[in-house]
This record gives sequence, C-alpha cells and structure tokens, in this order.
Amino acid sequence: MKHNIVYIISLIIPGSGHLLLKQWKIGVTGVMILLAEILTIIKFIVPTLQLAAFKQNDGRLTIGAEPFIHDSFIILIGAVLGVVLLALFIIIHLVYAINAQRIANEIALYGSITTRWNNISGEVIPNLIITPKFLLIFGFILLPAVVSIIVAFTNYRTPILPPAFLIEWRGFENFAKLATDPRMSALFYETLSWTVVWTFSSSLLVISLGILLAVMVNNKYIKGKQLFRTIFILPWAVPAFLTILIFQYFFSRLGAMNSIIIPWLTGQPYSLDNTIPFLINPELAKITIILIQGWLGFPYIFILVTGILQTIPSNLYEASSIDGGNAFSNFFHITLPLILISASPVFITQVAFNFNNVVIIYLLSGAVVTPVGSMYSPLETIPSLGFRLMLDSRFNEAAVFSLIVTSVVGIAIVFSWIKSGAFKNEEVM
Amino acid sequence: MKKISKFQVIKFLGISFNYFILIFMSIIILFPLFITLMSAFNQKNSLFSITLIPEKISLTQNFIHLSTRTSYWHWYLNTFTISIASTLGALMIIIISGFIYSRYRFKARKPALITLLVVQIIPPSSTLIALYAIANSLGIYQSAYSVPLTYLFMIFVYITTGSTINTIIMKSYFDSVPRDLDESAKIDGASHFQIFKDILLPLVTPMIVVLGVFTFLIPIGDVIMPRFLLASLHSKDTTLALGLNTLISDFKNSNPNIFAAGAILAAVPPVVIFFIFQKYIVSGLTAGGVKG
Repeated sequence: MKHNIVYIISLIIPGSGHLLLKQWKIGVTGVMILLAEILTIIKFIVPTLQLAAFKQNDGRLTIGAEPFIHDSFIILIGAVLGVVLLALFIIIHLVYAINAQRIANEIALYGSITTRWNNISGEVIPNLIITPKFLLIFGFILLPAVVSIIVAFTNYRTPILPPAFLIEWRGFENFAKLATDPRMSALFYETLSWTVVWTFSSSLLVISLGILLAVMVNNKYIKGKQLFRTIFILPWAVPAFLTILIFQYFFSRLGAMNSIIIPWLTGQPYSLDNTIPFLINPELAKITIILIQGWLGFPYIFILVTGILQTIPSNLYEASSIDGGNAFSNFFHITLPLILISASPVFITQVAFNFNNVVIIYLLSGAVVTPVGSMYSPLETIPSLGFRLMLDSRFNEAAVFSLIVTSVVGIAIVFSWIKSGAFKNEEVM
Repeated sequence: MKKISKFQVIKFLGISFNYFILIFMSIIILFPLFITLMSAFNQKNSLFSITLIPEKISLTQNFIHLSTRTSYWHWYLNTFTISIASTLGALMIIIISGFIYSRYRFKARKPALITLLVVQIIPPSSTLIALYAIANSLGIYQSAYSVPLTYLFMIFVYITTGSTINTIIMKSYFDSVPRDLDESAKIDGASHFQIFKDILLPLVTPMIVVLGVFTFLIPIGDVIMPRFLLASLHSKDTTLALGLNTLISDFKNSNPNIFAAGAILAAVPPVVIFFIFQKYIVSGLTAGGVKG
C-alpha cells in the first residue's frame, strides 16, 4: 500500500512522500521546511525552554539563569511561542502527509493528479487576507491569555520585577494561599459571597425591569410609546462610565439625593450632619450599587424584549381571551415563556457580563468605609479584586483571580451557545 | 347614563397603574441626567445645590473653568483619537474578512470562524497582566514617547477584540445578500474587487454603521485598560473616563459643576451618534443578538 508508506514518511520528513511521487517542487519545499524547523528547534526552542525552567544552585526553579542578563518575562513569552511553533510544525507535517496520501491515492486510481495543490485564487488569497487578523488575535488575545494563566504559577509580583529579578516557578502555591493563608482566604470568601449576591441580584433586576417595562410600554392602550421608548433607551446611549460618575456624586453626601430628594420626601431641611451615607456605609452601598446597575443595564434587555414582543402573533392573545384569560395569565402563560425562549442565551451572557463588570465596582467603591485590618473595600467582587491586585502589582495573585473569572465567564458563554445552538446553526457558520 | 362594567373598571385601573409605573420610571431615569445638566449651568460656586433649577445660571462659566483649570481637552482628544483609530482599524478588518468568509470557500474557513467564536470565552480583562508585561518588555514604558506608544498599543488591543465576533456578524450580513448578484456582475465582466466595492459594500452599509458605532463606543467607556496600562502621572495624558473620575473624587481640586460640564460635553458625541443611528442599532441588535 503505497499511500500508507508516503503518509508515514511524510509525517517524519515532510516532502519525502511527494519526492517519491515525483512532485519535485512541493517535495523540495517540504525538505527545506524541515531544515528550517530543525534550525529553529536547535537555535531557539531548545535554549528558550531550557532557560524557562532553570534550576539555580540553591534549588529554586527560575525563569532565566541570571538577573539583568535574562529578562524572565521575555523568556516566558519566548517559551510560549516555542511551544506554539512546535504545534505548528506538527500541523505542517500532518498537512504534508495527508496531501501526499491523497496524491498517491489519485495516482493509483486515475494514473495522474486531478486536484492542484496551488489553487491560487481559491486558497492562497483568502488565507493571505485573513492571516494578519489571526496574527493580531494571537498576539493580543491568545498569547496574553495563556501568559496570564502561567503567571498564576509564579511569584511575579511587586518587588520581583524583571529584569532586576528572576521570576520563580511556585507551582500551585498561589492557589493554595486562597485556602491556607488566613488573610487571603478570609478576603476571598467574603468577596465570593458578595460576588454571588451582586451577580444574581443585579442580573435579576436588570432582566426583570427590562421585561416588565417592555411589556408595559407594548400594551396597546398605552399612548406615547415612542416617547417612553426614547426615555428608556437613554441610559444605554449615555456611556456607562459617565452615568456611574454622575451617580457617584448624586448619592454622595453633597449630591442631589441627599440635598434635594430626601428633604423633599421628609420635609426636613438639608444639613450635612443628617445625610444618608449611600455609598459610604458598606451594606447601604451594596444596595445602592445594585440599584444603579439596574438603572444602567435594563435598556439593553428592554430593546431586546421590545423586539421579541413584535414577533408574538396577536391571535395567541385572542385565543386566550376566548378561553377567559386575563392580563396576568396572558403575561405568565404566553408573553413570558416566549420571551424566555428567545432571549435566554442573551440573559446568560448578561449574567456573565454583570459578574465581570469591574468598571462600576471600581468607580463606586472608592468612598466605602473599609473595615479595620482589611486592605480592600467590602464592595470588591472577584473580578474587581483581581483588578485591584493588578494595580498593586500583585500579578501572581491577580492571575489566580483572572483564571477564576475566565472560567466562570467561559462556562456561561459556552452554556449560552448550547442554548442558542450556535454551533449547529448553519447561518452562523 | 352608560353603565360601567366591572371589567372596564379593572381595565381602567390597570392602565392607570401602567402609566403610573412608566412615568415614575421615566422620572427616575431623567432626574439624575437633568440634575447634571442643571449643575453644568450652575453659576454658584457651592459644593451642593438644594434647588432643582439653579438660582444663578451661566451658560459658559463652568465650561470656561473646565478648559482653564483642567486638561479636559487633552483627555477629549486622547479618548476620541483612540476611539476613531480603533473603529477605522476594526471596521477595515471586519468588512474585508466578513466578505472573504461569506464569498470564498477555502479550507481554513471553518476553523477560522470557530476560532473567532471561541475567542469570545476570554474576557479582555483576563489578558491585562500579560498585556502590561508585554508592553513593558517591548520597552514602551522606557521610551521617550511612552504615552503615544501606550495608546498605539491599546488601539491594537481594541482593534483585535473588536474584530472577532463582529466579523461573524458582518459575515452573516454578507450572506444575506444573494450570491446571484455577484454571479450576474461576474458575467458582465466585473472583477472580484469591483463586485465587493460597487455591489456588496453599498448593500451592507447598515451593518457597517451598527458595528462602527459599537466599536466606537467601547474605547470611550473603557476605564480598566487605560487605568492599568497608562503609566503617566501627567494629568493631560489620561483619558476622559479617568480624568473625569479625578474631578469627582477629588473635591479639593475641583467642584461638581465643572465635572457636570465635562460630563455633558463627553456625553454629546456618543448620545448624538446613538440617536442618529438608533434605528440601525436596534434592528442590528435584535437581529444579531449582540452584547451591548
């Protein structure tokens, strides 16, 4: 069986199979690629990987051998690149082998080759055009994501910054700290419980407010639909960071909530001494921040649900009214199930978005009273605490948090894909 | 006199209740924005205001203070430069590769599309640590032009993150244009480039607008990346989001009226763009199910 032989020898030496089949051009290119591969492995990949885990005399496992001569971080990136290149080499070998096998098959069947390897307009041009984008995706998303995960297994943090220091491998030490280190674990569990409360209550508020208002505006007896819709889209049109900053002042001791609304409601004149510390008292701040997120987030759901409501056929409601259905039973038995069916993937990503919403926490947690002995505000969630740790240059601990965040967001997004059937949908692909 | 049935009473109460809730929510939405607008024109230099409409109104005073006492226009320029550059870059990639995925059948097509989809799993904030370290290793922070280079670096990140899922959305929109159009143009002797430029591009303009607005708004609203990556201590090197934050959280140096003036000016371009293209955005949103 000739095609099996060319497959196996092409896996080892790309191009050899083609040479055997008298495909000279491709064969020679393949052998040249192999030479280039060997050169890269000897000159770049092996030395970099050796440096990436260098055993010092005192037993520490460091990235790079000597400070100032080796920049640990560049070596780390080099090592990741090296591994990626190795994977790329394997893919090249596979492509060569599969192609050689196909050519051998065709020669056996027809006596000559029917398909061309170099189909210029069909293969090369599209690949050439999309390659720069994938280089960008590799350089600015995939590589940083992988390196950020790797940092979680090192001691890369504030005093140990390359090139003056070498980064050390620490295994699972940073993860274990979440359980063993008393301060770190206390911080982690407190943050975790608030993160869960924050994620679910803000998502619930955003989603229910969005659905409720959309259904109410859509009621056929309501006049001025366009006006209400324009008003309800406003929080989405104004950039979120601006409204968050506006609310930061609005709920402060000097802001309009304390100086205008509360006096108007209670009849007491405004004085600085009896203001309500909306964003200062931790418990009150937690409620305030959830309400603010409700204000900021519902328009998106509102627009989405308004769109879905237009697609619900009115004869469903007519049928229901014959059966004696009223507004409430219509809502719970027709409108809500239909909304949930079409919008549930978006609701899941909404939960992931609220979980990972660092901006609102970062901007609003500044004034909150921090308990004695704690370094971080009680309003921090897991993602925002990760961000704080980054700002404090505690990169290794921050990387652990990033990894948790990526896992949670990733699971939520995959779940929403399954719900919406993104992979099955031929439209998407 | 017409007899009022029980059903009509319930209906009337229900509708009144509806109106009550809708008007109440409208007030909740408009009030903070209204207060900010009033504060921007408040001439009195006190820290707080206890009336809805300021006693002394000046149309220009706070805006003049904004220009003279802060580096506001530097922030403005920085932010919108990043935004416009990222939008142009991302749109170029989105349009061209959307066209390629829609009209060409090549071996890497499906793996490429799946990669674009799967990359969504990685939240941009999770790559920050490495992005900072990479920028550092590239020597950006040691260079004489550290601030412009940091901005350039950020623009590349925005272009990349803005052209993953958006490419798939663009590709689906190209798919909705019938291929018969291309075929008939090809028979008339049009080249691939002519088909793309003269036939397809005008037809997909609505989606280009939607994706353009989305990619334009992301850098304006981003607080996280500039806060972490920008190393400069000079106030004029920062972005709108960070600069306005210093105005509101640092009461010693500023007052809320100046902040309000800055916030209003910053809100104008996004809000105007949003309402001009509102119809496109809403239809694009419901069609694509994109995250806002």
